[in-house]
Amino acid sequence: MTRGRVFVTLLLVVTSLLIVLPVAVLAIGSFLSEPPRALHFAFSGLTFGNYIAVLGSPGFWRLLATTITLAVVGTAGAVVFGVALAWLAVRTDVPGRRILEAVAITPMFIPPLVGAFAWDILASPKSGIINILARSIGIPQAVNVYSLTGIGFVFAIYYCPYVFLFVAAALRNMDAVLEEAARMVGAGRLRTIVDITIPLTLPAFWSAGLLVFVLLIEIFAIPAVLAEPGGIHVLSVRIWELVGFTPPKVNEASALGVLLLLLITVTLVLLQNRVLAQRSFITVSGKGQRREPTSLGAWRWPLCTLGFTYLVIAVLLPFLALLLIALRRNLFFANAKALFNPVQFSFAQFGVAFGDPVVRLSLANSLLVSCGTIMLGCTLYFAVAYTVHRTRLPGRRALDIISIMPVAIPGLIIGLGYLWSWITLPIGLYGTVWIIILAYISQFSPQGVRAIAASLVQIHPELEECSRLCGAGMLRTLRHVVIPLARPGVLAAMILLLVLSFREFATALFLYTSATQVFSLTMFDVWERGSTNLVAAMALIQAGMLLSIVLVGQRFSRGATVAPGPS
Amino acid sequence: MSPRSLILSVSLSCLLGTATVQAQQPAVDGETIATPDLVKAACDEGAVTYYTAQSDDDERAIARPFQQRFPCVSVSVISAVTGRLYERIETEFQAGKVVGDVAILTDEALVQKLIDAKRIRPWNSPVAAQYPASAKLEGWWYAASGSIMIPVYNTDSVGKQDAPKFWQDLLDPKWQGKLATSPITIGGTAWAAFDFLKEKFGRDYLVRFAAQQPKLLPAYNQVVLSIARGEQSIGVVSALNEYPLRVAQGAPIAPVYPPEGSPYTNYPMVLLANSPHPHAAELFANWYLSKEGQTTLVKQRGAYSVRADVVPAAGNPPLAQLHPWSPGHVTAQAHDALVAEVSQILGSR
Repeated sequence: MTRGRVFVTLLLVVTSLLIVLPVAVLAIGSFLSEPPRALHFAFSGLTFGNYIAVLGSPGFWRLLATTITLAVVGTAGAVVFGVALAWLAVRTDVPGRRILEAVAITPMFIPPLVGAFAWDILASPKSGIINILARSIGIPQAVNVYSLTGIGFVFAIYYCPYVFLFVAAALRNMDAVLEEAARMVGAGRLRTIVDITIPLTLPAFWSAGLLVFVLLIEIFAIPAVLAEPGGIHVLSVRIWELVGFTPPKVNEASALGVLLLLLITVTLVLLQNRVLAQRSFITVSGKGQRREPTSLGAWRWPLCTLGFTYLVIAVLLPFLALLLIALRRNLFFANAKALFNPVQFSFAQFGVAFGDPVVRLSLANSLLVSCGTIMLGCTLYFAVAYTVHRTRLPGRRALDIISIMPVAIPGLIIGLGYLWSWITLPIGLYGTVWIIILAYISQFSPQGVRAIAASLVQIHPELEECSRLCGAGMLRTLRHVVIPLARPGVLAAMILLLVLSFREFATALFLYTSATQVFSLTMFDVWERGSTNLVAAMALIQAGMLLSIVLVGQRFSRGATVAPGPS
Repeated sequence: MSPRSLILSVSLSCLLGTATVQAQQPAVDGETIATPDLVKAACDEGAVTYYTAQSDDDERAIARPFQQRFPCVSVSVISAVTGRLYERIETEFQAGKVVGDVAILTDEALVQKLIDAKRIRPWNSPVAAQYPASAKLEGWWYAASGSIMIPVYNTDSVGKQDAPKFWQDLLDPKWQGKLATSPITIGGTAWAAFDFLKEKFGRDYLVRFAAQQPKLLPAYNQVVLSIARGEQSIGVVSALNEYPLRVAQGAPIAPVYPPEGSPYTNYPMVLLANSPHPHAAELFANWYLSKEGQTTLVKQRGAYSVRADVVPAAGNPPLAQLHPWSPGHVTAQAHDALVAEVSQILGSR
């Protein structure tokens, strides 16, 4: 017990430094007139002025309503697409399910800025490729991505992979006996899905839905590219503006961050705890597992067609658009003939991307940052998730609250909190790659902890108890029982962290130096300079690299988890 | 090592040694930019960290000739918009951990704030005389770069006769809903543009401009791209964003230089106080202001130099022909008042 307490105290100290310190500095800063730079708090300037300025600014409530509406639409779409694809790929005998599984997650490897840009090129009202082709056959305007529906759709397809990852992990861990039992007592296919499959994957479903909702509230790149041209305004762009202001209105930006944090924490986390607390989701128990896929019968081919049609629209089309941009010398074409003019095509941008020393250095930095974030982050997230969900140690509730503190605070603001606070710590991390890694670990803790927790709550405590009874210590039980069984969830968390840390740039904006510049920042710089074809080439290189890492990782994990049943 | 290769390597090192000594002379193309003592002290420091509001890639290319002349000083470039650089400079200073040595910011008012707070140290550049009074605050900063704001139109959808020629032409009802620019809140360049329009043509111009329902995009590169792609027909943008698309990528866009003049924003270069490499910073900054530095900047970015002896980039008319207009010294109150007024008129957030 004493050891347990020491462990929790240690975790509380680490998470306090990583998360509470920068978030608290931001929160205090939101009540001051001068920013608390380097932990200099000017309490003589205590004020509610930042909140009054934010809440009283014209159009604030409309801004909030639009932000929430878009996030809800995007989340709903992502959940529908993600759950359907995960179920098809993991639990059914649909033809081509391996391909479905591999391709379904690829949109997450494209940075949102570039993904939004690809859809801009495809579906903008006048010069979008789809509309240019439609005009050539006499249809004036087929699609408009600068609209609520258009942005909601782009949100849904770029965030569907997150739902897919979580739900597929839960489905993989689920014992098919439960579905089989339902079928044996006469339930039809649909009834089995509704009454058994969906309820048992609810933790994953909720985690994924909440994660996507929160990410969509704070996402900057997609609304900046697609919403603003359509006159649609959201909070994340407003925060970006406040920080880009001269001089930056960082205290107001902090106030807005704190308001978002309160709004999301209070409503959604309570909701999640209520829903999750009412039921048991244990599906991994001491009994053996069966993993036979559900037979779709006559629905095999229609569902296969549906799944692949979605992939063509959501994945292939924007990839082709990016390839076109990467290969074309410029983006300027007024009609179908100019679009396919062979004179404009070249592979030069790929050579430029690979040959540029800054691109190569930032790619290496990004790999290092991602590696560090995954290794250190997953260890910390697992420790927190395990303590919160599998022990009764005092302090676990505080850990749970700390781990979700950065939720909905945009990366730009977290980076600011790190700049203000960590620069004063006497360990000299400012200006090194470590401060970026720590800021990322802090920023992604709500997502990471929840991804791991979702798979931990599926495991029956009897397995651990059995191991402990057989004389194994806590570490041995963790190593041989809990970690192998939670592996799908841990792997999902690792993939999530790889992607989030690889493409994040806002958090690093206040922290990087020329020696620690990350790939996403280089891409952002190239984008700002207007070299869109180089951006597209870099995005394709990034997507190819991340996809390879994930496929190798999944293969390795599958090999390692053959017959993971308890011994 | 064979005798032949030994001779080769000895002569090579002699040659390189001579080249290094020659390269580190304090004069650049006959223009004195430093004393021998400054060069020596800079070489001893060996590095300079350069904070810039201009693109990373451009700045690295601009610094290349400096690196060839002074290989003993390595230049690290950190690029961010002015607001974020300001936040870094302030926090580093207050924490006593200054990283940046020299900076280019895009906002004179903010630079003044930094001078008042003693975050910037005095600097008398030997090339100061080449900079007109409107482009420097003698002893503190010099406009090492700058940006002109101009109307731009899409040449595929707008004929030359129909294209706007004067600022007033932007108010023609035919452009309603086909016009784009960025909101005043994005920084000093946008601020200067709206200040120019109000000062030259009165508040009524801004009201009529708002009635045109312009699209306000978060960055000028997005504005230019949307015009070049034909999503919008015309717009008001920074020439720095328009130039690379027009010249390097052959975008179907053309600039308009209205005879009433165009707003020009100085980008002051400053030396940061308590910086770790003060001599290297001064040497680099002096070089940046030299004819060689400014010529490289102009070629790389399509920017204008205020130096009379630096010719404009290919395809750009001389700066004097554009009748550049500058807002002069601006107080913080006047700055905020204009932001509030324009935001209210244009309905931006």
